Amino acid sequence: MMEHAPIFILLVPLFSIPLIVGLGLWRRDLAYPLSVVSAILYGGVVLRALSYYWAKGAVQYSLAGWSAPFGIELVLDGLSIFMLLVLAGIFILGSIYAGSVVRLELPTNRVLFFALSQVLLLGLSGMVLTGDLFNLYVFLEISSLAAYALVAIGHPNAALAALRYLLLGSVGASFYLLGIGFVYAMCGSLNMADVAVRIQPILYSAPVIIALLLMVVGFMVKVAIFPLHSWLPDAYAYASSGATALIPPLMTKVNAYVLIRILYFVFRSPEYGPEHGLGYGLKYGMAPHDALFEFIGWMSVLSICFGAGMAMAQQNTKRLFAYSSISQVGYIGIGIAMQHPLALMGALLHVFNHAVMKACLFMVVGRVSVKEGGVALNNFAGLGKRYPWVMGAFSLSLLSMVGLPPLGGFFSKWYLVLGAIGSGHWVWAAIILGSSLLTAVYAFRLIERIYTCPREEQGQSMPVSHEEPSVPALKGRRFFNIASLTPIAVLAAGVILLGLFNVHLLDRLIRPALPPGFQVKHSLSDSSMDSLKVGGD
Amino acid sequence: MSILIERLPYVCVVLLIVVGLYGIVIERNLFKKVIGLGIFQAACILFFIVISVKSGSSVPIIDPSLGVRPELYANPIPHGLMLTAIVVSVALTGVALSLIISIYRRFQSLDEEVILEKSQ
Repeated sequence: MMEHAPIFILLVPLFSIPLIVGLGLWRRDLAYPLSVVSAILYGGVVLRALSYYWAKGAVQYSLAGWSAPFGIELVLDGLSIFMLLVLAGIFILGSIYAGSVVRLELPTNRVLFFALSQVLLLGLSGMVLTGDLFNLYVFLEISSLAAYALVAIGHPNAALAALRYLLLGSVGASFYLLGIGFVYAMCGSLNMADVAVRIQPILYSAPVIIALLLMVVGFMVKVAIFPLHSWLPDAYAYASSGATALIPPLMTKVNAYVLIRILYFVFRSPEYGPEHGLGYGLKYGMAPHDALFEFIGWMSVLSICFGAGMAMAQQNTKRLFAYSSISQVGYIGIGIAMQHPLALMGALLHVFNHAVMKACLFMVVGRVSVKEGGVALNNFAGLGKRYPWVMGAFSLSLLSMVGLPPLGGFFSKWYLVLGAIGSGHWVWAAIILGSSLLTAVYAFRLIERIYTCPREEQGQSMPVSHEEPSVPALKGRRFFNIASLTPIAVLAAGVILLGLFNVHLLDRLIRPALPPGFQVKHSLSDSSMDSLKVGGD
Repeated sequence: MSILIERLPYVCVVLLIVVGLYGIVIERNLFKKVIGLGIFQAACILFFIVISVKSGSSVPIIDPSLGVRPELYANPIPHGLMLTAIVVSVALTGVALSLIISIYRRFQSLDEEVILEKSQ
């Protein structure tokens, strides 16, 4: 029965969409519990798929019995399972959290919000599972449309932000579509595994290079790497608090996963020796398009610095975290660009870490936004005294973003730096380390505002900004009720656990996710520097 | 010049892409941006159709008098893919237009500069 696991993972959100819409139109209050049940069911199926994967190995599932390369395949390998776990975890917690803010922020659009979040889950899971290039485009557009609609609900300015997101995101997806066209014209196949085989002899030809370029640039728009990031700050700043618990932790990460798929799994090449003089990565059998990897790397470096720099200047906390997302996704990009297994492991670990951290941060910000009527920095003044535990979780996530051990964020940067040293990218290693300082500036600015700035109730010493009231501040309700407290607590605990047990996570989940033949020689708990050497040396 | 003659369909695709991108980026009216997006996506669809053509081929429906050799028929797979892409384009246009309606109700203008001014 569980050999059908891949399709069950897609069927859960697919069936919950009409269920939520139908039952929600009858009784509005049913939408939230249905959404939570659906998310938990989805998590259960993913866990069963994980145990099946550990028992049987990678699964290639042909839809409707049409076998590859003519039919569409769903692939459940190490990388897919890892991303599905991230999706499931964030979605369960995000759905539980969304109930606490959606009722207040979007009283009339509750049903649509929860239905759209299931569409988003369907699209993202499909992107992760599929083994077919064009099927990936279809699921990409499904998830993007759901994201555009989710961003557009709520704030008065959100519609324009969503329209700009739509225009830029569609351009990116259409570039990817053009890339598929070139690949199909050259290979005659759309199945990822089949293309990887057929494209070997023509990997250096102009159409294939153009195809790779188009696909990568298209996804750089979706991943929001500088300078193709301009849709992100407005979209995340004006989205409703429920949407920002779901979209920022997930959208850019899943699109970065697609970049890994395209660059490391589809456009592979056989082992090239260093005598071809084409760069560090070729010994490990990666795509020979070194210039493209360098380009991605330098753009990611610019993302890191630009995002952190802009975040320092923001007064609106949601916009601050939007720029912070640009910066953190730059780390993932730079990990992809280094062509070293340790760096790729660092990038994947950062996917998990950043999803957990950003979800926690946006959840706290969302609740403050709903209660205070705005998310200016001054709205956070004095909250450390009133809500010590929640603000402790908030500060923990901020410190993890800065990269303080033993929290999770430190270890992803650690592996990124190890990968940079191992592949000889000294400047990038220095930038990864130095950018922690930039992150620290805005993180500590927030922490200072929370803990050291007093705020009195009458005659306020700090002017509380109401420049963007998303909802009139509601008196008389608990600031952090159970629905919002539980996910925040779980995520904060996750930040600590991801740091303490990162070796187990890496060994059991992330190392199987690496491309075949792209492994680290020694076990990671081996503390010697031999782990910098890569298999095949 | 020979490129223009030999690869005319591809040159047209590239021109349409450029026109579409111009519309999305430079035009200030929101409707014109969406039209630019439509042109851009139409160009991508046209590219797939162009690559499906074989010289001397017929429509991809088996004609009993012609036989079943694949080189007699145009490649139907890009046609199928592009039907899906057209549907995606329609959905995107629908969402974009409803967003424009919502923006107009709020800002009473369709000019991007004016709206950005008002939303500060």
